[in-house]
Amino acid sequence: MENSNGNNTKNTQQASEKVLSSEKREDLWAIIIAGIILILCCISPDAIYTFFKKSLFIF
Amino acid sequence: MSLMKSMVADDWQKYIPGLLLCVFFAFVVMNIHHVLAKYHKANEASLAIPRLEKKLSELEAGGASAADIKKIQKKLAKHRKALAKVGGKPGDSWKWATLLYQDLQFKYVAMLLIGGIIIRNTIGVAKIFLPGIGIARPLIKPGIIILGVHYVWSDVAKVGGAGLILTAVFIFGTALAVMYLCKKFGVSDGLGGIMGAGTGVCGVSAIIATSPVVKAKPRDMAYAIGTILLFGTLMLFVMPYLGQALDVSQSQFGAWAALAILNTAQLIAAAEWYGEDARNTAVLINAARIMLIPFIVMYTVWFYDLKENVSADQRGLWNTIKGKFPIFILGFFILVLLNSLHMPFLGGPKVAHTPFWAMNAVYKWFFALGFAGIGLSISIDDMKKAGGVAFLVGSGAATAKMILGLVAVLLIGSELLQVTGGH
Repeated sequence: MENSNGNNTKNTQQASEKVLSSEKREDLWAIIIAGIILILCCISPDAIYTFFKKSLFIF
Repeated sequence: MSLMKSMVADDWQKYIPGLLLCVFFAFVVMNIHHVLAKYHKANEASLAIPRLEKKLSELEAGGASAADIKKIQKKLAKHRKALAKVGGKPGDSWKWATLLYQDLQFKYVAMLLIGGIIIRNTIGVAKIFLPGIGIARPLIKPGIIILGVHYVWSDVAKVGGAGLILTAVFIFGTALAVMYLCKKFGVSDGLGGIMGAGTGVCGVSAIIATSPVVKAKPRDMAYAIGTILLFGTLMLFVMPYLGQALDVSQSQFGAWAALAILNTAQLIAAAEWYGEDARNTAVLINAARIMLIPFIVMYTVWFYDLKENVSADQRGLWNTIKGKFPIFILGFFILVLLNSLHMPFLGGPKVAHTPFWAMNAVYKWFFALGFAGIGLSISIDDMKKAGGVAFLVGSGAATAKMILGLVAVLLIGSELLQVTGGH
């Protein structure tokens, strides 16, 4: 019984660490994506604006 | 190389179908939203143009100042442009668009969430799409970072400061109340601990962060996450209508949503649904709130006196902050800092042809992708997992927090919670 409780705790801990490391990865990706968008907006603000505000709306 | 490898999940291919589904869903809904907005504006213009033309002729006949006349002419030009977009003329009517867009608040947020829930729980979503749908939800994070261009440091100090005090009081108050009641009613430390952290602070993230500390069982996590999701989903749909019925201002609603709704994506969806000013306040207060996650973990350790359960490398305030701090919020604050410096080459969200003006056009698409992910991932079956005494205590505390949060923001007033963006 104690053994199965120990396994459960270990599983929860492993699952939690996996989710937390994926959260960190998501956070880093969010920063990278925002950084890329900032660079693209610095290079060509009008093209980015037109694409997201006009081109993507087809109706 | 190893850093690059750690940034990409081993089985990244499995995310592609679901992500593409979310892109398609968001694209269709954003276009429907665009059409509704266009016809709603045309309907308003059709009614306003004859009124403004009459007013203009009266002003011209009465010898009004050039500034007043110019103001009316500017409004007229704007309405004529809106009417021209749908090829209409004054007197035409598109009442259906105003009914859907303005009266029923049927905007992209509502369409993505309600549509997603309907799709998921009626026709269903094939298993191949599920991993990608899960990965679409965090795409709200780049949107939040980009929103940093809407703020200046004075906003962060004013609204964020008020928000930090409010959230600290509510987070620790709720967490303490839930943990105490769970202990009193004999709920296990594992379930009581994660339920307290979950209802107090940031929902699912806080549950995940505290679960190893309180040695929660997988079933406990399912109960707690089920309760948080169920309550958050209910509030997401109820609060915007409740706010309108109670005539809550935009900034007050933003603060209220940030206090009452436990999940970042859900609270941003509710605030965005209510309006742009509400969203601006909600994002800032939410930033203050999620920075408190490491402290809620420390608090749980203290409450349950569980130091021996925490491994040596995870002990201490600094290690907890390092391990649990949501680093994406740093990106948000970097953009706030850049916007506050008023650098001419970066411009601002309302200064045409500048980088920040272009960035302002992008964030809604990230939100749309994230909301598509939320809608398509809300499964009624998952919510049925909520149950037991912990559910009653958790949802009771969350309801109390919602009511007390409303009272608090009404007492504070709109001005302190208003984001100016430097204007």
